[in-house]
Amino acid sequence: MEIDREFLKGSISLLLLNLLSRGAMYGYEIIQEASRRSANAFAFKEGTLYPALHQLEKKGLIQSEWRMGDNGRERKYYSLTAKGKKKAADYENQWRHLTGAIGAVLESE
Amino acid sequence: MTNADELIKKIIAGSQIPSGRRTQDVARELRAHVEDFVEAARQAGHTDEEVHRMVAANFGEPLEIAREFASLYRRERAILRISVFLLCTMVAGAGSASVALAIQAALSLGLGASGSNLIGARHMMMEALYILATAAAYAGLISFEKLFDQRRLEKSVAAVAGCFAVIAVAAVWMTDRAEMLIVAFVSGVALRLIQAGLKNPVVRVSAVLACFGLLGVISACMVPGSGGASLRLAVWIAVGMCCYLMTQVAERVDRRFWQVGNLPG
Repeated sequence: MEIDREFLKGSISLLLLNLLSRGAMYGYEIIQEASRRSANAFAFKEGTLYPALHQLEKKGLIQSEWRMGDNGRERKYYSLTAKGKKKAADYENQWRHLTGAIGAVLESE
Repeated sequence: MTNADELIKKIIAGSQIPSGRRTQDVARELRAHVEDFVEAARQAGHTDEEVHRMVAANFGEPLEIAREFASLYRRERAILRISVFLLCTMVAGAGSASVALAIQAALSLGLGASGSNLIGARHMMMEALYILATAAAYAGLISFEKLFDQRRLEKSVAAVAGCFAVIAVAAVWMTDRAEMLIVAFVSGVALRLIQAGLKNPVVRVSAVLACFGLLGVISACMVPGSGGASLRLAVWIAVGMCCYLMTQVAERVDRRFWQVGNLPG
């Protein structure tokens, strides 16, 4: 099922911080990982990932560095900062609370 | 140029990232992404033609991505704009004011005028302020032009006119005078119009000298007595020449520091 872009926009920070909490990744790898973990539900336009990553970096939630990837090519790896780790946990709690509340409303009679 | 290169170029050109280094970094990152995508698609057995189509389809609308980058870096862009404007005004204005004042002093001495009014402290201060205000008007115009996509010159003239109107009101309130600001605004606009409208440098310089010569004639008619008409005309032409040089310096400073949307080579 295709997810509405407006829904995705609001949750992209949570998604990226959560993925990066599992380890440093580069852009293409993040897309692949998001797609794999969501069973292709998050098949968003790849170019839109980079402004989102740069925004998180500007906020000090993630940091980046160029280093050699497994395929021998240089890639820009992103990883969480201490502030980002805290924010990832915070976003996750908010998300669970929100989805729980929305679920309760949707399932109420 | 491949489809991917063109795609990246479009994104970079529209992103207006206010730093050459950061722009290069984004281009390098996007290129790396496309390389990964192309490699994966080829490994999956797609032909080159299919891969090119897939890159365009999967990457997203380049203008939309560029807009997102532009929105992300708007604060830095505003800071850079103001900094470049101030730098242009100070470098070009102070430089040309110094040259203009030196020429005026030489002219007044060379033509044997008493020169007391021309090189008097108040006159020199007013002259320097006029050239600085003209530089501010000119630098303001070329800075505002970058904000607009269409009818840039008209809109930037309106924006600078608004700024000068506010300053003129403040000047009238504090000193009861704002003529110098008005003449500086008109001079700045005239210099920019001449620069934008006339491509031949000789014609351009001639037009600038003609405009400032006319100002000299008007000045000699309106405020007679200080220095004589020929000296007044010579002084205004010298000021015009310095203002023309100011536009050249300001344009170079602006181009040097305003490295937005350049695709790295």
